[in-house]
Formats: sequence, C-alpha cells, structure tokens
Amino acid sequence: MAEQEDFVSSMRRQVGWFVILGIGILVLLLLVVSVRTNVFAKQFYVYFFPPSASSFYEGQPVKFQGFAIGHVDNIELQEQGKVKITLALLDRYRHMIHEDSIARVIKEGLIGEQVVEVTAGDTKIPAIREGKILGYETEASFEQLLADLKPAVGNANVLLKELASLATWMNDPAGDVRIAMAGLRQVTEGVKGEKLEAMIEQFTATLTHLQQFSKELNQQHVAKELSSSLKLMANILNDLQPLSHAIGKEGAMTVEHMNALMQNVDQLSSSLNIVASDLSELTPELPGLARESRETIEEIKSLIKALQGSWLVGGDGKHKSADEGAATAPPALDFRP
Amino acid sequence: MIRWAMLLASVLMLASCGGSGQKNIVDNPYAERMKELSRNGVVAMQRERWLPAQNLFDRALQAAQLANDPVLIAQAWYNLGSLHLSSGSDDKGEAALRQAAEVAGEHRLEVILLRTQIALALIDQKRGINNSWKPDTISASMPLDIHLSFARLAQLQGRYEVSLRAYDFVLNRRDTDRTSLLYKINAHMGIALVAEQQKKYTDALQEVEKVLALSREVGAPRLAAHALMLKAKLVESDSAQEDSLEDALAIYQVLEDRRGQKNALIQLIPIEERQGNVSQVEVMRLQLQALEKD
Repeated sequence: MAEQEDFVSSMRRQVGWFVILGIGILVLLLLVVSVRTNVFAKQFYVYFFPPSASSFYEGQPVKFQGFAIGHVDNIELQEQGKVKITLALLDRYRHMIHEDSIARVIKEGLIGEQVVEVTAGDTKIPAIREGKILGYETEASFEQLLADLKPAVGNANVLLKELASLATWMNDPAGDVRIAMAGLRQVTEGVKGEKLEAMIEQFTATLTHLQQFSKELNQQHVAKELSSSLKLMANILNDLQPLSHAIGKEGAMTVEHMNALMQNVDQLSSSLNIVASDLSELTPELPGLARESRETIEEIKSLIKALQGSWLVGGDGKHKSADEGAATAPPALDFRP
Repeated sequence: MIRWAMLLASVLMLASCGGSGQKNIVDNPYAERMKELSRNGVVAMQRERWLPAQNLFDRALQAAQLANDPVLIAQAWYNLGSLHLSSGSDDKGEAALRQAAEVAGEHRLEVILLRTQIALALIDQKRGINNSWKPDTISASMPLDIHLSFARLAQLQGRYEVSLRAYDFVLNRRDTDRTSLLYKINAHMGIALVAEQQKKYTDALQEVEKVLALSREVGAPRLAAHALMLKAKLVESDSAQEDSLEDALAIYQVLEDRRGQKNALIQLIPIEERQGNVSQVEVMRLQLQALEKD
C-alpha cells in the first residue's frame, strides 16, 4: 500500500516537473520571440499627413539612420480627403527622435523597397512626444521641385519650337513629305497617306494650342498638352517610317531636321528624367504626365533612330547619336584666379 | 503601267535595303539604365546640383555592376570621382578615380585610363605635389574633355606652350553642343589665366570678355564669376574693378561659394574705402567676419 502511494506521489512529482518545465520553456520562447520581434516592446504612436497613400502600406518598415524602429500601423482616409498615417515606433528610440523630426519615403538601393524614414530632427529640441504630428517631406522639397520644373518647361519650349518647325515642314505643300506622299499615293493606295495628312494637321493644331499654354507657363497644363502632343508625334513618326526612304530621296533637309530634332528630344528627355525622379513622390497628375511624356519620348527616340538608320535618310548609316556610350562627367577644373 | 510597276519594285527594293542597316542586337537593360542615369547625372552636375548628381551616379555604378561591363564600371567610377572633386570632396574623388584607374588598367581601356590619369595628376598639382607625368602631347583622337584637362594640367605645371596648344585644340573643334561649348568657355578661361601669368594683360582681358559673352549664352555662372574676378585684376579704374567684383560677389552669393565671396569681399573693401563708402565698408567687413567665423 505504502509502495503504491510512493509510486503515485513520484508520478505526480514527475508530471508536475514536466508541466512546470514545459510552461517554463514556453515562457522562455515567448520572451525570446517578444524581444526579437518587439511584439511586447513599449511603443508610441506618431502621425503624418502625406498628399497620397500610394507609397504606403500597413506594416511598412519605418527606419531611422538605417535601423528599423517601427512600422506603419494604420492608414486612414479622413473625411476631408486627407490621408492620415499612423506610425508605431519603439519607445526605446524615442530619445533620439526630436520634436521637429520629419517623415519621408525613401527607396533602399536600386531595386530595394520603399520604406518610411524618420529623421532625427534638431538635437537641441526635446524628444518627440506621443501623438505628435510629423512633417512630411518628399525627397526634394516642393519649392525645389517647382524650381526644377522651370528648366524642364524651358526645354519643353525649345522642343516645341523644333516641333513647330517640323510641323511647318510637314505641312508645306511644296515640302519633302507632301511631295513624297503625293508621289507614293499615285503608286500605292492606302500607305496611310490620308491618315498621315489628317494627323499632321491635328498635330499642327495641337502645337498652336500648346504654345498658347506655354506662354502662360501653367505648368500642369503644359505638361498635359505636351504629353498628348508627344503621343501624336510618336504616331506621326510611326506612320512616317514606311515612307522614310522616299522622303529621304526627296529632300536633303530631312537629315538636318532629324538630327536637330533628336538633339532636342535628348535634351527634353534628360530634363524630364530628372524632374520625374524628383517628382515621383508627389501625387498630383504632374509626375504621371512627366513619366508618360518620358516614355513617349523614349518611343520617339527609337523611331527617330530608326528613321536615321535608313541609308537614304541617314546617309551612310555611320551617324552616331549622342546617347551612344555612357556620358562623361565634366572634368573638375578649378579656374579660380 | 510598266513605269509604275518599276517604280513600285524600286520602292520595295529600297525598303528591304533600309532594313538591312538595322542591328539585330538585344540591349542589356542594365547597360541602358547605366547610360541613362549617367546622362542625367551629367545634366545635374552641369547645373551644380551635387546631391541628385551623386544619387544618379551611384545608381549608374550599381547598374554598371549589374551589367558586368568593365567599360561602364570604369566610366561610372570616373564620373563619381569627377563629381566628388567638383563638389569639393577631394579624398572621395581620389578614391573613386583610383577605382576607375584600376578597372581601366586591368581591361586596357585607354581613354578612361588617360582621363583618370590626368584627373589624378590634377589632384597632385592642387596639393602642391609636382606630378612627374608630363607628356608633350596627347592623341588628337581623344575626346574633348581629355584635351581640356590636359591643357589645365600643363598650365598648372607651368608648361604654357603645351597648355596653349591643347586649349587651341579644344577651341578649334567644330562641336556645337552645350557640353562642347562649356569646354570652350573653360578653354578661353584657361588661356586668359595663362596670358595673365605671362603678363599679357590685353590678351587676357580679351579672353575674359569671350568667357563672359559665352557664359551669358550657355549659362556657366561659376566660370563667369571667376572671369569677373580676373577682370577686376586686369582693369585699371576703381569703378570698373568695383563693378566686376560686385557682379562676381552676387554670383558667388547665389552659388553659396564662400571662398569666392571671401575673395571678392577682400578685394572690394579697399576699393570702397578709397571711395569713402564708410557704411558699405562696415557691412562688407561684417559679411567677411561672418564668412571667416563659419
């Protein structure tokens, strides 16, 4: 009987230890996981109001000096149409972030994901408080972006002039294109001659309209009109391609026109690339249009290259466009007297 | 009828000939990206927007590495080096140029190697080290920027004849794109400085006027400010000196070029003192103190 009682108590002890050890290991695991993932770490919440939620998602990492210090906790569209983003940040880093800190979206490396970065702010100012509304900044400030846009609009105007002269050249009844088209129409019907003619007229009308806009320097409208005008031009060049041999044969001016146009297209492309990259974090229609224009310009460039590549238009085919090979930075020569 | 048929046949033949000139090569997207980023970086650099330029060149280097093309990698390192030198970070510039030289040397990339060698020799000259590499001439087939850098190097080495020959070579090239025009403005400035060092003041002044006229046309504010500073040394009357220095100071202020502002103020103060502009002298002294304090 005593033996049986001993056995039962020993079993109880063993089961008790087993349960205690099991619970202990579970608690330890929970502790390790919580320390590693900051699940139970004390957090504090701050907010900011970007113009759009397009660059954000819940759970998106928030970084400070390259270290993950929290995540995007909530994205909310408020009644007035404002986007409110809540950041949950680890409390242990609070003392490093100051009241005038700002939030911005950055891209990690060439193909890295977009993360929210919080800046340190002025170290002389007290540390950030719970519920503080942070300023939001695109990588370049808005004033800087507007300043950047002006040269692009300037370049767009240069391009417009070139496009206008091209349109006049295309529209000239005694010009290369018209003569070539007239000749071709007699030979083969349906070489898109009529379509092209109508398109050229439409192109000229759009340009006139666009030039009026550019005089007012209403950047958004200029960008919009430029985008549609460029698309139209891409279509014209596309339709012009099958006629390029005949056009080249008819007019020696063609090569000059194409080269001058290529140069201006290149210039506008560079400006738009810079502006588009700076503007990429802004949500109004402008960056989209800049991107769209840039894509159309790439298309135009390849079309012009194709036209230049024709041995009749481009002469001996040895012409090298400016964008062959990587561009070289200007040498650092200090000419200070 | 036969005439039209022949014409149609000739058009079709021409069309097939035109197609044969096109390359059937697939472009490496990373190489294309590198070239695009480099082009934009150069545009940003010409506008003295150092941060975007660095961002673009950094990404160009990454793209070149993804393309695994030694020519592009060496070029990307050179661009970064030149950018750092232009923005005043000589050590970073030298490090990047040494990387470019290593890749260019390993793959025998003659043009980039020469470009880098000259840039490194220019750093030596700037540090007061007389670089022993002193060729009398470089191949005419080399790009314009190399001739310009070579001219500047020869000038700093005191080899004025070699320098002037190289500057003339830059000026005689018929390129009319913006970059080439900027190189030509640099060449005029170089000739002006050589003429000033040789005490040919009238020639120097003529070249300075060319720099100013071309800068107005193309847009090269820093070079224009340097030219105005040199002009102030070459003209005799106080009022002409004052005008040039004030214009230079205004440009340096916009460019936030502290060294330029200091130099302009140091030369302006005695002129204003001679003219008895006490209040202006006081303001300028305060400006100078603020510049020296920071």
